[in-house]
Amino acid sequence: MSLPLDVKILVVDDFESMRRIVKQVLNDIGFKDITLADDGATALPLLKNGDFGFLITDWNMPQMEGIDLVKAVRADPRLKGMPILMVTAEAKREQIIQAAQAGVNDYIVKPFTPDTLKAKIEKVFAGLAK
Amino acid sequence: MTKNTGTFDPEKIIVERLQQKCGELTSCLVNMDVAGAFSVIEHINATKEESIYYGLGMLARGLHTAITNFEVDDFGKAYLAHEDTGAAAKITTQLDNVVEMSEQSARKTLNILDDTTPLVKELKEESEAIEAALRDTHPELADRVHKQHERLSKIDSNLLEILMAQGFQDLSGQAIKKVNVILEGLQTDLLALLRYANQVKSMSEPVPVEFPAIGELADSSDVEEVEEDKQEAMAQDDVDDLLSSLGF
Repeated sequence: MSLPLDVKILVVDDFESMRRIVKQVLNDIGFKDITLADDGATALPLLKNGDFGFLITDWNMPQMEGIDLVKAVRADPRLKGMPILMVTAEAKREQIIQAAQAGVNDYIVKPFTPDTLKAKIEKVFAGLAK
Repeated sequence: MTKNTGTFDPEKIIVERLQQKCGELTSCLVNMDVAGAFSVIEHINATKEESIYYGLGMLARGLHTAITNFEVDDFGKAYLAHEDTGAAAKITTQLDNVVEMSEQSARKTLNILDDTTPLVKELKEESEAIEAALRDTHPELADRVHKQHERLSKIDSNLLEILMAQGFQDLSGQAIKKVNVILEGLQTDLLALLRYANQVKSMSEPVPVEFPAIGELADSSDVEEVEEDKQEAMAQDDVDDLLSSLGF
């Protein structure tokens, strides 16, 4: 499917290596406008003040966890429709349910492959198009 | 409590004490020394409580010794940017240093990939263009250029594999952080329990029970295992199935 390659993406993870990995994979897919944040606490102001169209976030972060970031985004009238993909090592059933209830569009378990990330992104945007 | 495999066996000491007291009790009864017998019985009762307190002290000491004696090896110390790694540091600090070491290693690899990957992609594009230019006039040369393009594609794919492999730093770092939290909590809880047990002990009539001073003990391996989280992590397919069932 045709992806909106000009969408502005925010990638949030407290580990630098993971931020750079996700950014590189997004670049390889064709996305070029990618911003990185190291915590939910730094990401939320960026989301509120920027014009981001897609959020990719980790769960475990020191200041503000990803699940709380998701809830904050869904609670904001201006941001609530933003597609959100959670990419995290947390893979317990109750956590996945919690993320779904908080409003993520999809969920990737680390470690992941570039093909999985691409497939999930395509699925998220396909779901939005419906 | 896991069986002690170290050089010090508290169970053995407790059994020896009790055997000694039982011997004294028998002696009192033989001599019709009822007061003495009751005194010995009080000692035996006190041994039960003291042994619990003593066991806790062993645990706390063993954990504290393991934490303070943990050291990164010489190679790790040399690799770190920090200067003050010579002294024995808390295990949590050392584990934090391990996270930093792996982060530095991953960053170095990612920097090299940032430089190399664009070069490989440029070479691929150029080889494609050259192949197209040669195809009609020099088909054999075009075939050779095509092989170069295939090799460059393989290199590009391998570079992507190297990139994804750096994800280990994230996963190992998270695991180490969780271990640090568990260790710190375990030590804190054990010490709090010891202090509480000491408070309770001091409220009752003191009955002297002799054990070796906890500070004199060698390393103890008698450490309780941390109870594991019983929930299993799910694979990506299972995650997708669960999300589908939830309507995602």
